[in-house]
Amino acid sequence: MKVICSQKSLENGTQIVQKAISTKLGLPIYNGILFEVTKDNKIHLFSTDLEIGIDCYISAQIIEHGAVVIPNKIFSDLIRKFPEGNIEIEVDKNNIIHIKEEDMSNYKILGFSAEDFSPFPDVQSRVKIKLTQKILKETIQEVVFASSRDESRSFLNGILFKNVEKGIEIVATDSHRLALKKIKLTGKNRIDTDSQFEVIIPQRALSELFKLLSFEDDNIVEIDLGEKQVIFTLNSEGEKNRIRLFSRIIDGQYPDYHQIIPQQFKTTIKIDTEEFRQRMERISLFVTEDINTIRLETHIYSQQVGENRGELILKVNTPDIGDASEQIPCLIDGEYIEISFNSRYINDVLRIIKTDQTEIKLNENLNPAMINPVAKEEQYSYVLMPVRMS
Amino acid sequence: MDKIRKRSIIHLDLDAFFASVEQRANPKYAGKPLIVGGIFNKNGELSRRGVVCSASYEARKCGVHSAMPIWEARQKCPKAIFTPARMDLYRTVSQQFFHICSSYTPFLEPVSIDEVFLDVTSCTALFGTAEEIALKIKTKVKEELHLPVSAGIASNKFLAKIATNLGKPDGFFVLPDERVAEILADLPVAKLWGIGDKTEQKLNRAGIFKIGQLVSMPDMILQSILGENGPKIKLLAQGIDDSQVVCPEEVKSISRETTFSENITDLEQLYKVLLIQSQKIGYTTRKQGYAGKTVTLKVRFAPFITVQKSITLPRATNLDNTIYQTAKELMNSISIRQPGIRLLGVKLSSLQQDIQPRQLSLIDNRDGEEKWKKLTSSVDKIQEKYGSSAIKRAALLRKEKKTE
Repeated sequence: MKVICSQKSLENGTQIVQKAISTKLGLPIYNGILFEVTKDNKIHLFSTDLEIGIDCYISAQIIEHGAVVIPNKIFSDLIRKFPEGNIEIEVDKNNIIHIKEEDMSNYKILGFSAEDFSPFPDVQSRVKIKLTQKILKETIQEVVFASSRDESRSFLNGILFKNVEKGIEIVATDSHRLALKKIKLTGKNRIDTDSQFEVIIPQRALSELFKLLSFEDDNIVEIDLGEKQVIFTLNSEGEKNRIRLFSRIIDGQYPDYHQIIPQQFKTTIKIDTEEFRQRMERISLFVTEDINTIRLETHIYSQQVGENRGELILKVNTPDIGDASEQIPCLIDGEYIEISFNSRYINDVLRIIKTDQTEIKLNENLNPAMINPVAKEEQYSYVLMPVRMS
Repeated sequence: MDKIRKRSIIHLDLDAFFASVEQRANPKYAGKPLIVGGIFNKNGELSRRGVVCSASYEARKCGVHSAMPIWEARQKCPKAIFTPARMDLYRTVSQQFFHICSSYTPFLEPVSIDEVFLDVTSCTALFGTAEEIALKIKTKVKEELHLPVSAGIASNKFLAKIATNLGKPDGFFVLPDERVAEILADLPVAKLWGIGDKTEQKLNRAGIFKIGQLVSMPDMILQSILGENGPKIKLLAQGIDDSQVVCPEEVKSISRETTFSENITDLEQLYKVLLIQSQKIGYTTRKQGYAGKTVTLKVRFAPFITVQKSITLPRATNLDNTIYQTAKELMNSISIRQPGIRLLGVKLSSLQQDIQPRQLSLIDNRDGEEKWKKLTSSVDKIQEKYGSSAIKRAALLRKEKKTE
């Protein structure tokens, strides 16, 4: 194999695919990137840890066809250090990779045989979902943080994609809090099937996908659901800029989340999002890893039916640090309540709420609560369990 | 440290503790040779295996002592009444005893379930001399617990314990400094801390039987027999002991162990034992206001091979069921080899105060922890009011019927 391509496209290409590499696997070949010259004279880049994988194409001047697996770490570090310009890559029969720049640099790396590398999987698409990059990226941001990092219950490490009437619900929970986003299927967003589906996609796949997506891009991402794997395809029209990410699907029964989401509330608080966020972040300086609870109390100025002006009082008491309290003007509808939460669970959701107003909906202090953006057509729900004191 | 200041140490030892508690509980045992310990089979018959846990003074007169094999105790004292040990009861009484002691000084070092050292040096202004304090405790234990206790008073721990033994039973012995040399001189060397059977034999072979003889031996000779402990033992022999009364650290773990009268291979039977042990650990842990994160299973196979395995839970617990399920999981990971299991034990460690706020779960936990918490607390209340047999897990029912 012998190719010449620009430093820029090599750097871009390796940066995209290397996200799928995880050293966890312990097989040296999978710390590498597959480079193969395609029939239509492009270079196909692919890396995988066998759970997820990413591929893309870069254009190049092809002098001789062939394929090789290049160790990623040293190769991408090296490419980054080259100036913009052309780089020649030549691989001999022994998989020794010669990297040259303008006949002035000469590097040799030992590669692996491409034949030993697992190919990008062929997935029989049962269901095809089309979502814009923008909506998919927003959804991942709004949901994925609520998934569990604890590996003992693998289905909680994943994010559920489930079709519902005229939409898809995307859900993550770590069993203490749950984030749910409903995507309406209008405009470019659509599914090509009426049949029911429910898949759990690993959190890591979506986190890596997130990095490949753009908030500004209105182009479609195609999601092909297979039996055991899912493929996300970006820029599907033509191979030139196409990027694909495949991931295994997590085997497991997702909890019946609709049952968890309360429908009625005794107390509803409407509050300025920015004010709530700032005061929460400030008072959270007073919590520690061990003692991370924050108490919320309502204070109502007058007792009339419906919404009343009042205050939400935040309190933190950490013996090692001290006491703190914040008062935030708000509108309160319903009963007085005193309830404690893990402060992180509130801060997490406040980071992603974009509307001016936020709604806190509460029942008894041992029952699930909700924090939502206040908007006309809001499709987002965040449910969290309180902390029982004593 | 203020070494010149003379210390006042009291050593207290409940006389024939388990036997006394049993005699107190069953007036028909009073004044009779009573032996606590031994292993009883399902029909209430005494096995030849097992050892004496405690013998009443009446039984001791026949030569029975603690740790003597049951068969030997039977030979020595054919009239003796045998009764199984009720450790839970003794633990409760022991706590009451320590509680009485602790009302006179915070400097208290329990040595065992029935033995304690008190440093009352700084308490004499409040409660009177060491003799007065010892007498007060002795009276209080007699009045409130109806148990005999022997007290020894001296200027250090070693001498206080010697004094207690000189006064037993129901003793009260003050060992003033000026009489130390005279009293120690005639005692056998085995009374010195750090001298076990082997060392005693060595000393005896060298012609040293009494503490007095040991004191007069040249250091060189002592060193050759006692090794590096020589100087320390010689100081003890002279009645010098600087060791402090060390208040026990906080509880680090709570455990229960059971030795079987026969080797067990039946898993179901072992589960039952684990369940009983887990319940006891759970209850103690709850009552002491703790919760623990690590559950350890200890299994001793018949030829004295001991296996220990542990699991650290994501969250501290004091629930019987969680402890039991974890112990069971550990049990399942151990392959039971022939000829079976001799000893089984469960330990809960990494203890912390059970007042931590608890993050509630949206989806039911695997063990439905909240439900178990409520259930356990109700069961505790019922058992505290009506006794432990008023309510119990079905798994333990059949076993009860058989023994009845």
